[in-house]
Parts: sequence; structure tokens; C-alpha cells
Amino acid sequence: MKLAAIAAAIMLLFSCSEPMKQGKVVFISVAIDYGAPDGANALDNPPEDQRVLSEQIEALAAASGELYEEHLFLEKNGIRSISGNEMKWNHDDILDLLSSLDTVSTDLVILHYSGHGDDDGSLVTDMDTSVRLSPERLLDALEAVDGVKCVFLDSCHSGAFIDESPTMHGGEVFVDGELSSEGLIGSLIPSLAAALSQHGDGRDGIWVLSAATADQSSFDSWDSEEPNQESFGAFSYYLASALGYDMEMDEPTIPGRGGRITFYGLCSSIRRSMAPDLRAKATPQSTLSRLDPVLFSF
Amino acid sequence: MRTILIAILLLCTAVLGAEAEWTPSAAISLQYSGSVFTDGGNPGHDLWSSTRTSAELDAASFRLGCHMISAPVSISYISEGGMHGRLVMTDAFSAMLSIRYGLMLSERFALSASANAEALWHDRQKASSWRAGFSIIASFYAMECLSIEMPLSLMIDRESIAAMIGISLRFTLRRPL
Repeated sequence: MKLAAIAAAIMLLFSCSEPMKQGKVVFISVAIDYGAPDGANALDNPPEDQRVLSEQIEALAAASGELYEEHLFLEKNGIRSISGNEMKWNHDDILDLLSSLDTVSTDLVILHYSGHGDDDGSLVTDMDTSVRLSPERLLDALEAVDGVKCVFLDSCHSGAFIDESPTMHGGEVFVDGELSSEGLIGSLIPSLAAALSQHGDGRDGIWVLSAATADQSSFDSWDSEEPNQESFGAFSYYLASALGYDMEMDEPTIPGRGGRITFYGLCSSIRRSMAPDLRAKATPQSTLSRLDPVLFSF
Repeated sequence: MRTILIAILLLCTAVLGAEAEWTPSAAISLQYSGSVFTDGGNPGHDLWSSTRTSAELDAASFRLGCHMISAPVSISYISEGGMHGRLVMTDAFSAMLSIRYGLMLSERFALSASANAEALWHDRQKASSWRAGFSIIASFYAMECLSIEMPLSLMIDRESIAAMIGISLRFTLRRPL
């Protein structure tokens, strides 16, 4: 009995956790339509992707009692603007913004991209030149930013942004680029191999959720019966829905009080919501870590 | 080779000559787990606390005089860890295989040590991981078949170190071979 009491006391002593203090949510979104509707490589939906995510994240930040700061890099109908002010920008401006952010360790930085991705995953921030924003360059810039960083990429081959985990494996098996199987049984041998080998070295403080693997394309339009899906890219649609945006009413909503939204909670929600055939062709990939960022808490 | 074969033969003779018993057992335990990340995510800054509830089955367990050898299998649930800043350590399910050696120091007290290999399933991430470590267990036999144990464990993987302390209740059968 004495032993049980001592054990319980030790557990109580060490099980305290810090409540989430009020911090800041910084939302940076890059959405490019490449001169829609007439451009040769036009995408119809990135501007709407940015709009709904901006509205929903702003509402969630307010409901969480956190400060909100947004920087919206937009190209709509070929016209570029930053947070509503018409001005030309390129990816150097995005990197400059990241280096100038004033954040602390408890702040949340959300980076969203909706646009083309090159074969190696690089972001095509300017179709007229060959200059691309590579995964290494963007992740290096993010690593220097204080705070918890969550990156949501709605672009082809965006899985290239995700480093292999040194310890964990999801068990996903792909055949001809399409998801064939996944789950516990398939994950055991690869995760044991990862534990025994030297490869895999994640980036501290950065969690990436991509629309597709490094070998897959993402979809700006897709066939489904989801409400208003024709106005959004597939991944951004499911991401906004998972965050709580009401796609049918086209307005932000807040989950019930006492809840929270975490990074892996979003991943699970997107995984469950996507139609299996869409998910097989564009399989969202996420950084694997034992730590889960709490994005919003009510 | 000849030396090894002679050693094995002598060992078998000693084993068969001793009082050998088959001692299968089942146990439940509750442990406190404190983890530190050495790499990745949030290295070294915080202690992540969680509780671990386990059920163990030890069918391959034998007692040879005062020596005990066994290969227990256990399944556990590790609760979500406390929050630090905006980060929370997710919960996990695990299956562990151990190789254990124990020594009866008296009629009622035993000390054991085991090497452990553990597979974890992180349901929120839909991913598995592995870790290895060792345990030291102090056992007090309240009755011949019932013992209270205090296990101390250390489990390590490439990203973290977890130390555990807790209490177990074990029910043991004894059958002479």
C-alpha cells in the first residue's frame, strides 16, 4: 500500500503539464493561378484555397484567444498582390518575410502553398523563369524562425519536402505511384529497418503535410460529390474542411468548446474524408514525429 | 567447438540435476514514464510525462533452484504525455518481448533483470517505431503464487530516452518438471 502511495505521488509530481499560453498565429499563404483563366498553365482554384484557409484560420485564432497575423501572397488572374495590396513579388520576398518574422517559441507559423510543383518538388512561384523555390531553401529559412512551424503544400510532388523519419514508418506501399496498402502490419519491418539504419534526420520544429508523395501529382480539380468542390483544389478543400470550414455554407465555423485541433488530428481527418480512389492517386504525406503540435485550443 | 559442446553438456546436466519448475505467470502493472528527446522535434528541453498500463504473460518461465529464466510478452498503452508549449507527446500502443533472469535472494524476495525489445504503434500518426532497453525488477512474494513488483526500466531509441517506474501485481503457478 505504501508503495502504491509513493508511486502515485511520483506520478502526480511529474505529470503536470503547462497550459497553452496565449501566443500568436502567423499565417503565410502563397496562391498562384498562373494567369487563369487564359494562361497556358493556369490553375483555377488557388485564390479560393487561400481565401477559405485565411478566413478559417483567422476565426480559429480568435476563438483560441490568440493574436493573428497574415501575409497573403496572391496571383489572381495574373495580377500579384500581398495582403490585398497590388505589387509584384517573387519567392525572395517570401524568404525575406520569413527571416523578418518576430515570433517566439510558443507561436505558431502556418505556411500554405497552392500552386504548381516541379518534378523535384520545388515550388513554381514564377512560371516565366526557370527559378524555383527548392525544398532545402524553404525549409532552411523556416528552421531559422522561432516557434512551431506547420507547412501545408497543395502542389505536385510536394512529398519531396518531407524528410524520412529516423524512427517511424507508416507502412504505406505504393505500386506504380498509387497507394496500394498501409497500416500496422506493413509498417513493422520498415520501421525496424529505420531504427537500425543511419538514415533519416528530421528538421526540428517543422511539421509538413503535403498533398501528394514526391512521385505523385496533386489535383486542382477532381470528380466528387462534395459540396462546392469545383471551386477548390482537392487537398486545400479537405484541409479547410478538416479545420472546420463549412464548405456548403461557405463560411468559417468553430468546433465546440473544450476541443483542440492538432497537426496529426488534421492528417487523420483528411485521410478519413478523402475518397479512396483520390487518396490512392494523391496520397497526403506528413512529417512523422512523436510530438504533435496543438494548432488551436478552445 | 568441442569446448562449447562440453560446456553445453555440463550445463544441461546441472539443469537436469537441479530442482526444475515451470512457473508461468500473468501480471498487470501501472508505471510512470518520463521521456526526454535527444534529437528531433524538441531535443533535450523538456520532460514528457505519461502513464503506462500493461498486461504481461510469461508462459516460457522456469525456475531452477534459486535461478529464474523467462521470456515474457507484454502489451501496453502509453497515455498522451503532458503539454510543453504547443507540443504534446502522442499516446501509443506497444508490444514488448523480454529475456529475463531472476535470483531468489530469500524465500520472499527476488531481484530480476531483463533485456527488452518493444514495437510501438502511434495511432494518431498511423506509424510504428521500435525501441530497446532493460529493466530491473524487485519482487516481494506476499504468497507463494502472488507477488508485488517494482519495475524500473530504461528504453532507448534514436530520438529519445524513456525511464519508467511503477508497480506490478503478478500471479504465478509452479509446476515441477
